[in-house]
Amino acid sequence: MRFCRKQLSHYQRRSLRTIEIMMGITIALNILLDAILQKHNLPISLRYGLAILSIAPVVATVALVARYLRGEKDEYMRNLVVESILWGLSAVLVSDSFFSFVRPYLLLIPIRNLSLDVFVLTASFSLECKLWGNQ
Amino acid sequence: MKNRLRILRAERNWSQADLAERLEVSRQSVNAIETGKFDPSLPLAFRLARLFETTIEAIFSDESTDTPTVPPR
Repeated sequence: MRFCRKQLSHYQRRSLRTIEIMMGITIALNILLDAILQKHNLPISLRYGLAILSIAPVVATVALVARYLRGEKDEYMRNLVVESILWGLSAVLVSDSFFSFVRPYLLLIPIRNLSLDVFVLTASFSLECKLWGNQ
Repeated sequence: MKNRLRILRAERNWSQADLAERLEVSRQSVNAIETGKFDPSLPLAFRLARLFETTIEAIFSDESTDTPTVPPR
C-alpha cells in the first residue's frame, strides 16, 4: 500500500502501520511454529497451545482493523476499507476451495500461510486500485 | 444523486484539497462525491450545507429531478 500512502491521513497511516506490523508478526510466527512442529514431535497438549498462540496475532489484527474502522471519520475511506476486506475474504474462500482439491499435488507450497497471504495481497491490491481509480 | 459541489467549490475558488480539509475528510472523498461515485451520509451532507451556507436540497438532488431544489429563504 506504499503507492497511495501519501494521500492517507495521519490516523490512517498510523493504523495501517500497526496492522502491517501485526500481520508481519502473524506470518513470522506461523513460519516459526511450522518449523517447530516439523522438527519436534510435540505432545498433543503443546500442539494445542501452539495452535492457540498462532491465532492470537490474527485475532489481534482483526481487533486492530475493527478499532481503525470505529475511529475512521472519513466514511468514504471506511467504505473502501470494508470493500477491500470483503475482496480479501472472498479471495481466501475462492483460493481455499480451489486448493482443497489440488492440495495433495502441491506439497511444496506452504498451505498454512497461504490464506493470510492471499487475504493481505488481495485486500491491499483492492484498496490500492480503488484509491488509484479515484485520484 | 446529482450535486452542485463542484460549482459551489469553484465559486469559492477552493480546490478539492481545500474542501477536504474544511470537511475533515480525504480529498478522495470529495472527488468521489463530486463525481457521483459516493453519496455522503446525512451528517456529512449537513456539514457540506453548513460550510456552503445553504441547504442540503440546494446541493444535492435526486437523479429524476433536473436541477437541485432551492427552497425560498
